[in-house]
Amino acid sequence: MLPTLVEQLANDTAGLSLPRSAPEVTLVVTIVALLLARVPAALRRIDPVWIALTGALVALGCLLGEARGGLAAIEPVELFTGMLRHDALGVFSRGLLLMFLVMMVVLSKLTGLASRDDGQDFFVLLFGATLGMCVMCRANHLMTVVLGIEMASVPSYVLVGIVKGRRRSGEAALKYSVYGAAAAGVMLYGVSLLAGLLGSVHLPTLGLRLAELQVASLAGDPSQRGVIMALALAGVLVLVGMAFKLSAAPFHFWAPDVFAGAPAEVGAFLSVASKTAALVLLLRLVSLVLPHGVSVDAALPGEGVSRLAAMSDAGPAAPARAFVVGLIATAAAVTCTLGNLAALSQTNAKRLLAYSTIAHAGYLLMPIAAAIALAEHDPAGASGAAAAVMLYAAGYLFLNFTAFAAVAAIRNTRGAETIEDYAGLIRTAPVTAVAFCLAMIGLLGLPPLVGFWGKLAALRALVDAGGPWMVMLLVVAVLNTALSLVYYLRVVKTICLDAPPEDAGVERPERPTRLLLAVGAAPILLLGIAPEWLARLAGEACQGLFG
Amino acid sequence: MTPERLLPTLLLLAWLAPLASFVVSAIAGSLLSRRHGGQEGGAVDGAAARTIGHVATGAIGVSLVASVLALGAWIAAHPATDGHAPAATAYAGEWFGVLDVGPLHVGAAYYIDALTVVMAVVVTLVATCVHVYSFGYLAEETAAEGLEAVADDEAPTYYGNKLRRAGRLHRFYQHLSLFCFAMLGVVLAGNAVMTFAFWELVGASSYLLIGFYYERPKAAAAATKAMLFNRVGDVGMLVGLMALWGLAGTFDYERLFAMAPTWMASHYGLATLVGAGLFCGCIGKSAQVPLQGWLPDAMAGPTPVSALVHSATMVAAGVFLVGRIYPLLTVEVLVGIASVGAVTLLVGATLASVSHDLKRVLAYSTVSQLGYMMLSLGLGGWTAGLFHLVTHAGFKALLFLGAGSVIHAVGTNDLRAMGGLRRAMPATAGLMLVGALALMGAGVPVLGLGLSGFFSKDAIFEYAVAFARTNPSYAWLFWAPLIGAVLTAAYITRLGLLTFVGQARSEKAEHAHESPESMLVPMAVVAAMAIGAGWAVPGSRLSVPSLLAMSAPEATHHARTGSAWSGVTLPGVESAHEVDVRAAAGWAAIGATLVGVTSALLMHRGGRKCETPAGAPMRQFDEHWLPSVSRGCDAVARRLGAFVSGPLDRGAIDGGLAGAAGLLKSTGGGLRRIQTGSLRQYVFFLALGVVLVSAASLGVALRWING
Repeated sequence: MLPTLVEQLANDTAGLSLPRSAPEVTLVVTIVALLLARVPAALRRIDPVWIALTGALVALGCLLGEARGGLAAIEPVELFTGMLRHDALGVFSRGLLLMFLVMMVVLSKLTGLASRDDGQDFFVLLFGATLGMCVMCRANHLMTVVLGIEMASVPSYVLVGIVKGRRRSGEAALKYSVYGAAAAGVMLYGVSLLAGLLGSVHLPTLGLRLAELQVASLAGDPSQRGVIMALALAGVLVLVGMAFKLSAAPFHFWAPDVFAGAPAEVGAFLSVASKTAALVLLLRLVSLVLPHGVSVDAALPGEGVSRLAAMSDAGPAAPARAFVVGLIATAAAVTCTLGNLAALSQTNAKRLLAYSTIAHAGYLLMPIAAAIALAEHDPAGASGAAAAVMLYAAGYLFLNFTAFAAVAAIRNTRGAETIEDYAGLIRTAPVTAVAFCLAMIGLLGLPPLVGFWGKLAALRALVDAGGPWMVMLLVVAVLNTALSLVYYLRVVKTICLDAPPEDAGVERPERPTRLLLAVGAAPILLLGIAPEWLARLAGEACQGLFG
Repeated sequence: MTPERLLPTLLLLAWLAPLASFVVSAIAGSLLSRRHGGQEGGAVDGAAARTIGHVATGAIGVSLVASVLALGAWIAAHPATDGHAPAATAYAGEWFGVLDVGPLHVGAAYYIDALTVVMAVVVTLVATCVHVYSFGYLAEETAAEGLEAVADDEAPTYYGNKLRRAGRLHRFYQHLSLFCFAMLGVVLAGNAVMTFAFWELVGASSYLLIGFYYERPKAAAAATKAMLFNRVGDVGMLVGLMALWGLAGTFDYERLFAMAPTWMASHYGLATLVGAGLFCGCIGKSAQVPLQGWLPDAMAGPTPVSALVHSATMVAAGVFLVGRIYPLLTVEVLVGIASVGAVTLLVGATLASVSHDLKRVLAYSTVSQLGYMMLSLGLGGWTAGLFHLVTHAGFKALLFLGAGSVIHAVGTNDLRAMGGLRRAMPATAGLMLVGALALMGAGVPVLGLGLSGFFSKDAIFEYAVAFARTNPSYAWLFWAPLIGAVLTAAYITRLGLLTFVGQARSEKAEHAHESPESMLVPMAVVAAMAIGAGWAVPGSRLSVPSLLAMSAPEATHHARTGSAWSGVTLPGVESAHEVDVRAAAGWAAIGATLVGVTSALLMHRGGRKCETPAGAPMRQFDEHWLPSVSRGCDAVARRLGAFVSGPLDRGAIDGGLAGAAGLLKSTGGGLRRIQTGSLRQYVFFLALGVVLVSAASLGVALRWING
């Protein structure tokens, strides 16, 4: 018993898993270093931002090391006895997260959110949440799914209330944590149902079991109907948990209050990092648990082409797949419409961005629905749809970062967060104004900005998938884009056309902040003009995701 | 390097040099003017403006050298033939990609054949001459603000005195560089999207150049008019492009030409639509009837611009495009093109005979000559039409530069205020005479000696004669150019008589001076082109037409008959080159010219009488009735616009939108009300959501189980 354990430790953990988890290890080391640096008086003088920045950069460096040979060369392997999965998607998404972490560390220092004295608290929470998100991005096991979500969520609750003494902040943190706890409970219930019904907690095994179950044939047997109902319920409950993390309707209620109450920097983190991780996790769940023809076929060798042809008509999990497509498509359509409608009448910039975040969750769910629908017959097409999600998410990272960073910068100079107060900003703070406008137009999805290509890829995936659900989503997406024109461009109009207030002097943010805004906004334009590189990376990341 | 690598490299250099000059002058110009005043259009001091001009001239010089080298490389790779050899393969490829959306791939692509290299040389040669010429012509534009500021008496001011403004020579060269870049883009383009993009860019730079004296209401209006007229044509062009995409799924010329025979067989109607649509764009750009009205007005721009943009190159882009897309055109479209060209050449030549404005005469002459080119292309004379494009670029640029020289000296465009200038300006007069002779196509048919226009006009007549022989019912397509040739000779003789012969009819004409050398030298260069562009290189068969003939589309080699109008047959190269056809064409052309010259000499009594018979009503037609047609269209459009913006837009659409917006807003407000901020409610909503979603899902699952 013991020798096997030791051997396993040596082979699996030390030989295979730890070398492929260097970024996570670095994050943990940085957290410990941040905490310990407080203890000796000599180290107390060091500004924690340097430790955090070093840690984040080293983690990013480790990750780039993982991607050394190109994303396409990464062979999927299971780490830590099947707990985690190491593949191109994991590397790509964690790359986005860690790059975003570096940007967040710099931003929070520049805007003064992480001060010299208690920056540690902020950074420890930030790094802890990122660690959880990295786990979410690689989850291969129901336990790591739940663990990752919780590790990402709990520090986020505290981050929302990081500014002490502000009532709204504290209230938002409390709301977030209570709502989050309730959602986590629901999800745990679903997870346990799933594990119980299928007798496994390992995601690929779950997929195999679901395929073996032959849901379609169960329906004919009256005594087994309960199983189907329980499976459906399990699926719904797990998706509720995901919907909470993505702020998808009808589980989005926390988002506006939390975004409005939290500092803008934390808003950026929640809207980008949290959402990216949740999207990747959802992609993993639907690509692993909902079996696609090929993997089952590989399990039954020797029967050849005729079986494959038969399978292509209706896979063993076709009813489950159709069910999930319906759920996600409905959620996407409702979320998108609701977010855009509510954003129309917002006056506070952070609340506007909160609803914009909700709306974008809707857009982002659409290609996922398309991917699931495509997986049945066209695995390459499904991977393409997943790549659309990742392309969208990568562009969204820069867009929302710039938007929230600009909000933070304006808060520091004008002391205001309502849209009316942004009047004439183009004349008093041109860099901030241009960055913010670029972000708004990019979020709207106009060419030649990066948001356009993500949206285009998403819509293309819907067209490729076809069918009534997808046509519905297509119509909803297009109508919503037209709708969102109103509130995004209203902000641009306020900034560019309205007269600045009389008393507004020169209120440009500090030079480093302007530089950061420029660095955040430049990719919006550059990746918009030359999106091929990013699209190729996203494509490689999702290659073979659906077999 | 092999030609297929060398040619694109050279032409890329030729293409990008003006762009570099544009960027440099735009940046330098704005930096300098900021230093000098801060506001838009601030002054740039004279020396700096000249430096910018030198940079632009240097850049176009580089382009010229590169183009000439490219021409040399082409000739080296393609030994001269007798013009009946199969078409030389074009070098097609891409410098860099720009856009990839689904099946649509757009890049900076090139399609290099003999037409491309010849056009590139013509464009850069004339452009270089115009760049140099402008230093003299626009010398006063280097003035600073203040005492020696440019005085513009055609621009109104609030106080009724002359407008005084700073010079803007740097602007002029900046726009000129942009134009050269755009024009070369049209010439080199390897796909229809690139053609369209640069097509619009030449339009934009033409707008800027026509409106160079933007304080003058006439210039501003002319710039707008040119823009609007071209938009009308471009609508058709867009339709053509859409049809092309629908038909072929590619914009790449090489692939399109390869596919064309297939779709001509399968989708004849759509192919006709493609050709007709694209030709609409050419009607606008090349000022063909009914969109000819903008070109005479465009003469409100500086005269060097008229020479380069509005006679030699940009307006010829329409002809060039017809030549480029020739393999895509069906017989019906070609006959349409020929008819439009025939009508245009008559209208242009008639109106050129009566105008009292020197530049307007030349503008209508350009319209008329473009009509000849279109006619020739439409009749299957691909080589002849494009050959005429080349020769016309030379002699018309010469005529315009000469006109600029005259206007520079006399200070007016009015022919009635000129006369007798040959004594004061002998060099200009001599050079103009060369241009005039080339335009009327002077030469000796038996000996085969003549100026450039003689050869190209003869070539066009060959096709007209051959076409009229095969299609007797379309004989008017022969008579129209014949009458046009009489008129051409007449109006250009009139122009020469009224300007240079006789006695000075105004104070200024008496005291005119010859123009500076910087203006005369470029004129001499284009004069050389006007004389020799039709000649073969001594000791070889190499000439412009033989060069062009190498790349003549396959379709021109044999006779073609229309599908819808089966009565029409386009003659092939062979039938146009029959001995008796050539003889008939030669005598017809030279006879018409002689008739025209003689009648003009008689009518204007050797330059003592300005008025042409029936001149007043014709001018009335030109200056009043033709614009009133545009005004009528304008009025209809306004009425329609008023209806659309009034009852339709404000009433129905706005009302509907306002209603929808109100609905959305109230929905948004409703959603906001749900967002109460109460945590207890949120958790309640969460639970409610879970229950409702689960119930709905289970309901769906149950229905599925039960069938």
